[in-house]
Amino acid sequence: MRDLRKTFGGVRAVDGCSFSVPAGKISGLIGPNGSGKTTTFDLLTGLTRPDGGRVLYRGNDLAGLKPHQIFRKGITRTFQITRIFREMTVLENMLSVTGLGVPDHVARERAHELIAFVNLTHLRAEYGGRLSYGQQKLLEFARALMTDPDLILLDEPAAGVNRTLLQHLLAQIHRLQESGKTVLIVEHDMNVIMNHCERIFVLDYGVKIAEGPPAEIRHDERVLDAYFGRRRR
Amino acid sequence: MALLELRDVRAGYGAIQILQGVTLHVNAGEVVSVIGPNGAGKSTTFKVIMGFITYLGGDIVFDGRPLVGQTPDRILALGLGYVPQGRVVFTRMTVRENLEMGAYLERDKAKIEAGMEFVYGLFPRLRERRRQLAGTMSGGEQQMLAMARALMMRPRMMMLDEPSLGLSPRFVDELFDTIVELARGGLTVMLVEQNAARALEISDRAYVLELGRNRFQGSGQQLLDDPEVRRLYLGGA
Repeated sequence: MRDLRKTFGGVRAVDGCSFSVPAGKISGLIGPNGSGKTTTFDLLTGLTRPDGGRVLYRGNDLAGLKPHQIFRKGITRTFQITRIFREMTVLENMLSVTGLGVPDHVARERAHELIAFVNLTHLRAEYGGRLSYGQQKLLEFARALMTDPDLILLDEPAAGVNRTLLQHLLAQIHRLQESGKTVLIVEHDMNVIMNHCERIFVLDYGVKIAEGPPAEIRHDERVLDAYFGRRRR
Repeated sequence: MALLELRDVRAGYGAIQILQGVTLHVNAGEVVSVIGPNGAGKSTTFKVIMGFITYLGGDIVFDGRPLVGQTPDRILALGLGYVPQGRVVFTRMTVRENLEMGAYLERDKAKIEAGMEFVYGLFPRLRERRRQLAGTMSGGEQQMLAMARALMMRPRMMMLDEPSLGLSPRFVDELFDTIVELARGGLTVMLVEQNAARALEISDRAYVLELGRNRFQGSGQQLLDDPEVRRLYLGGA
């Protein structure tokens, strides 16, 4: 991302942000409430058009591409509030991903593998709306993998997920990384960020205020100020 | 004696338990802050006091009366005001109409007018804008209106949930000045704030929550100077 900018009605949600997500690693994007994290994801996935700046993916400019075109380039995401189909079964949710360019039976096979990957095999015939919140997140995560993406953006994967499911989800994220995928996580749970990301980018008021490995970020005064607030006097 | 006291309060949203046992108290005349990283249970603490969410155990006592099982309007009538997060005002009503809504439990017209004068005195800008639609005002002005509306019932104590969230720096200064002024006038205040430094500066005492439990407590100044409290926000104390 180079000098990315986005304004909503006078509010500079993303205000000249530049950073490079390292390929094949797990990185974290953090910052206090309203610092521009989700807007950044929206800009990366074409849900929102930037007012300025560029998004380069493997050297190609993504500017002006529609979400489905970006999706086809191998970038996928999950949402803070899951967007699964509540009236479809787990398996149907998985098969709702279109444009895979593979025969039906291959798509089905992949769907079953991914359902197993997130430990939902016993629930494959259950309606999405009947899953627990954590299970819905796992389903959305699995569905995001249907296209065999190279870059996976996860928006608050830990929120509302119990410890057991979270441990499983994190283990699977590491497996993806080991298989060569790139992962970028937005998350408020600092334990997830500090223990699982190699590199962390910190936003505050739409500006990148720090970047580095967890050990550095943890002691960065600017980051601490952003989270804790600044004294007036 | 404590005006508000919580003992080992547990609460959550449906099956998801957020508060694992929170204990705190607020004495009459104090300004007390509740701070902590995201997911600590700060706003949840307010919501369980007001009876909005699933109560799972513990005691909540205001002015000697148990609040568990009370409806929000009863709690308001007991003298506990609440300003929710996110500047919740009636956008298609005028400023004055919003203030009238704040006094909906009051039948005595003279008392409503007296309340109106009281809040106009505190927030002169609201008097100037009394005929304006609330939705057309700036975020800072809407936050003022939300506070003024809660003051219409002349509560003994007011709970403010994230009052500075999303406000411009100028309004943040003004907001904290107003809270200090209200406290000087005798109002007991409890506030939840993500801007911990600013909240601690004006607080007599504060509680730091983490993952639904008490973590630290002390005077505002002590906690402000404690590096452990700061570090907690990045997950490693």
